[in-house]
Amino acid sequence: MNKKISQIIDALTIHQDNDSIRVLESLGTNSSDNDIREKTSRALVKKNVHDSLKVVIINEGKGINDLSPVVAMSTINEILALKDKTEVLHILEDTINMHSNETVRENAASVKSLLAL
Amino acid sequence: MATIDKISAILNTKIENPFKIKARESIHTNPFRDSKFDGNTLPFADIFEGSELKTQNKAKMIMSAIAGSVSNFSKRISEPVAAFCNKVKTNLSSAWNYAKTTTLSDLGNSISEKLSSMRKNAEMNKISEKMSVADLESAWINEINLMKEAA
Repeated sequence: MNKKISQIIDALTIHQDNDSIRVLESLGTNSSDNDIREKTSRALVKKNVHDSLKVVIINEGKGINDLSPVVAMSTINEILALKDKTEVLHILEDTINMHSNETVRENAASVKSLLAL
Repeated sequence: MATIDKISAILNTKIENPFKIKARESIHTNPFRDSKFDGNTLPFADIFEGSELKTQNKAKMIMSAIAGSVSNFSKRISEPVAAFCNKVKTNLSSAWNYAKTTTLSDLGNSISEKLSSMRKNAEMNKISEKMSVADLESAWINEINLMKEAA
């Protein structure tokens, strides 16, 4: 992965400004580069706020729903590594109960069951 | 007595051996073996007269050859050599003038200026969380464009 982009993602991960989530979503999760998508998804999980976790859980083709198994598994690992899982559990429950797409619902259920282990 | 005189006359006469082949004469390759030039006919005939003289003349020949070639050489390339020398002279004088006019402190200043500009550029290019989100976004977009151009 491009070193400078990696540094930018790291900087945006630490950034407190909520606009950083928008940049990570628009430029990172939509990137054609698997490495950039993986790093961005992990960055969004690390932020551990409602808006950032929502991006990697409820969107098709992003985060845990990414078509690349590496990106999806890496995101799940990052979710499992969170110390405070309150917000992520809340979003997962909402997704399982209310999301229109079945695949997204199943993925959310799988992650929730992993968290329960 | 007359018979004895005849025999003695015969014995005194040299009889050539008919079997003595004239091979030695036939393998002679020197065409001048029967000629006498006395040093007049050939221009360097004196080279055949003793080793010392031969050496001297050879040295003369070599020296004359060198002198001739040098004179030809100078005639042929005198102009390019002059031009080359002028060029070298000009370059040397300009280098000398530069060395005279430039002091060590000037050199030090130019190096320090370059180093400071390099440091500034590095700081400008350094990505940190202190940068605004907008700056980080523009830097990211710039990198994407650079990657597209490179590809």
